[in-house]
Amino acid sequence: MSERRIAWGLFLVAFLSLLLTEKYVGFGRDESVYFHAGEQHGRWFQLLLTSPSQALTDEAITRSFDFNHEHPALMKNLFGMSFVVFHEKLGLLRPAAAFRLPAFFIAAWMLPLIYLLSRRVLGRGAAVFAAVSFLLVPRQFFHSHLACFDVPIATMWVLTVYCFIEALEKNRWWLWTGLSFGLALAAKHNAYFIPVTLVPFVLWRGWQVTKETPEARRWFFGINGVFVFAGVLYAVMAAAMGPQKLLATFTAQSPQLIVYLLACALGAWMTWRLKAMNEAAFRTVAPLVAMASLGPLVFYLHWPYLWHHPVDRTAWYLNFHLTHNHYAWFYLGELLRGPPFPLLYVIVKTALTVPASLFVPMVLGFAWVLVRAAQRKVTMFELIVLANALTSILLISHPQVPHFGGTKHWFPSMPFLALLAGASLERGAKALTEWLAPKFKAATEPRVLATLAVLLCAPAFIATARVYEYGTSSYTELAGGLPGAASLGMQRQYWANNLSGVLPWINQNARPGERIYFHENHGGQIRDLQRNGMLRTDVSAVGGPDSADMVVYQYHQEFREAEFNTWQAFGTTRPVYGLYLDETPQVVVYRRQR
Amino acid sequence: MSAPNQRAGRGEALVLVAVGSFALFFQLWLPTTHVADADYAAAAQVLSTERQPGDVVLLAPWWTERARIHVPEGLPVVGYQGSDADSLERHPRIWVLSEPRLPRAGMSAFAETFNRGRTPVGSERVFGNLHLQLYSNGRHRPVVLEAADALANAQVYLEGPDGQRQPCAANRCANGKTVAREWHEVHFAPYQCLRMDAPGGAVRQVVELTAPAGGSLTVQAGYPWEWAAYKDGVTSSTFSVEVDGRVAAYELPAGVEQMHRFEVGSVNAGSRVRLMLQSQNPNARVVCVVATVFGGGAP
Repeated sequence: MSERRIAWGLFLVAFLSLLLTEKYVGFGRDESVYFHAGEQHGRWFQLLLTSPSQALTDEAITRSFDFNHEHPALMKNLFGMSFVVFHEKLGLLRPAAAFRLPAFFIAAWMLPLIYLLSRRVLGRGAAVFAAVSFLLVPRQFFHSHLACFDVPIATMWVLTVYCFIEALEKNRWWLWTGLSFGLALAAKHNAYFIPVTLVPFVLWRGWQVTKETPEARRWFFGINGVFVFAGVLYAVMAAAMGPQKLLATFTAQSPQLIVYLLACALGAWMTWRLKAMNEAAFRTVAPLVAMASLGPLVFYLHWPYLWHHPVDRTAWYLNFHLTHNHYAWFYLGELLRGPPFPLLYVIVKTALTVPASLFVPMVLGFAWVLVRAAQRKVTMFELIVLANALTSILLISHPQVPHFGGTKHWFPSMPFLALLAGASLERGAKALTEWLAPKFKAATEPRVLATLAVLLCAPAFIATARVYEYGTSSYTELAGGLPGAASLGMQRQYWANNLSGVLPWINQNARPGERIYFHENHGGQIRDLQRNGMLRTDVSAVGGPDSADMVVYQYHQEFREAEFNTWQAFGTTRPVYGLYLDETPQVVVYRRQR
Repeated sequence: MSAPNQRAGRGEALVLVAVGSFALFFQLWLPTTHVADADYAAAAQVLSTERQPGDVVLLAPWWTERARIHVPEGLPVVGYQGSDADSLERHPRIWVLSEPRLPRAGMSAFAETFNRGRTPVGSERVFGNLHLQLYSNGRHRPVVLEAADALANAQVYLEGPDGQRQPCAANRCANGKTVAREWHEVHFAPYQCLRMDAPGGAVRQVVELTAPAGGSLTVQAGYPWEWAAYKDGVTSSTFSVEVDGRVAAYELPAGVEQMHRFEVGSVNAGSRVRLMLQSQNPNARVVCVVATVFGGGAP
């Protein structure tokens, strides 16, 4: 079977598994916001087709793109177009599935990417294991369903790194690296850290491959110098003018734009000249130049909201994330309300939420690269994988960085850890075969590897199958499952999508027109549940227990006051129903006594 | 990636086999720890027939609150982070409803914390994965006065620094600040308490009660919910207790999430007890107060 067929097979398995399990996954707080934003984007694209001159005005663009402009538009554009085509025009999918379809598509691409990346160092079996293991982490499978950005940015990150590695050896891949980085920027702001993981390798490799050609070395570092110099110029301008004035005067004919355009043009020209001197040096630096030049261009072009106000709206977007709120978050029995956050939070949370049978191979694979680095046997590819496995984890581990959102903020690390897990499997299978083969004739390496892979995947599959639709609640073996995590005092859930677990009961038991307080669910979620036939349309959502006949409480330690307010309002401490996952309270339903 | 040496490779293989086997066992075993509805119903039947006034149900682990659906109405259920150590001093008997087979159930740690002063009564009843054991509570103290329960007979008023009083009709004060018996959360634990609300400035909100019998007055006070965590735009509060003219003042610091406990001292039958709350800035200065006169001497 060809590599291409295997890659397509992995894509199809992932895509179908997401599509077929989609309807059980409730709508998270953020997802309903993105549904709404996506629908507005979709309307704008319809306007663009029917009345382009009107669509291109700042007024029309602002009307459609102002909502939720704290995130770039790529995914929301796709969500919206998919909704218009697959729900409204073709009627093939319910609204939520239509919005989510592009998310499935991009999440499904993660598997071939991991596979192809892994194949550089692993055999087919281990590479398939690495790819499939990404979706066997319950939280990752859950998030892969959502019309959100966390899995898409992880995919774009891997795509950019994949293209970069290919570009070191093949023609034209520098172009795909630049474009894929642009798509990553257009997916989510995590993308700004991709160059951090690649620049050291560019410099190191550039130094290595120009040993014999001093002129090429000068040009190579000259290219890097151009962009460093541009950065210094911006710093000087910011110091001289102040950041506010720098942004306010950043117009089409300003020095600020000219510096950027000159840097890109000069960098590109020098890179082209370098190609004639030293092909390897060209292939090393060209992806970086493409990222610097094409990345911002793709970012600008994909987001109509920037077309009339590129600088101030980009500045607002970046500033939003630099000054992001902190949300209360429960961790080992303590409520974290703000920085400094515990240094080991990310590692502990990863250990408690990734199935142990995948987490341990990840750790072993990681340790093995460190050992090889200590032995000076490590390859550049291994170090690139290591750097990308570490970057997001280290970034979120910083005590001043917001720590809400479970594990999703370091998803871009997980594909690289999956590759390292695959390497561990391959080494383990090889060693096991050497040990077993003399005793058992049937113990060939492919069979041993397959058996070991099944042993490692089976518990992860069971865990995923049991709780994937409530993915934000998932904890795995090292935590002691959900019960163990509850005893440890870990965050029970977030995003309020677990409401889906009590909807059948509500639909069956609510009185006509019953007033229900859906704690922690905003109006958009209720709208989407009713729109998708998951909640009866005759029940009405109210703002608190005092005006409700029924309260649906999302169990969070930081929100217990809401539950006790319900006790007060309803005159009882006794719920009538609830969603209890492995005995842990998730969603608790109270009803006013009559 | 190049092959490791044989011993390391064999070790890695064994670790993978071990962790895979452990994880598979865990995932297959976990569902066997669940409690069936029928088992809850059987335990509830026992509670229904054997309950006595003043009984309480304590959950172990503390978060196994699915039991609330099944425990008979009117029988208090206690389960919050830290409830293992709750003295449950108002309750002479405690039913411990536990699920010891759950992962990290921590029953030995529970027993270490809980058992002091408690004596098992009869034998443990087992319903599938659900265990029910009755204890007599050696830490029980009879209640002479519970301020929240006695609110109907209390005087509620605002009092200026000059001693001038402004009565709060139906416990609703002139500035809209109310006093009421309500459920609130203080540092994740539920309390059915006296809700007091600082009026602001030097004015105090006062609840005045008369002790029906002598005993020892204990006061617990804390800011509900996230108000306790506020640091900006709020001030600390002074909670004062006056018994027959003797005043003790306690500070409730801003930014501290805690139910503060004060042992005020002895109270005689007919003693006048005044509970007073003051905070310069009234923003988010609601305080949940549990003021109890226990009979039977000091704890």
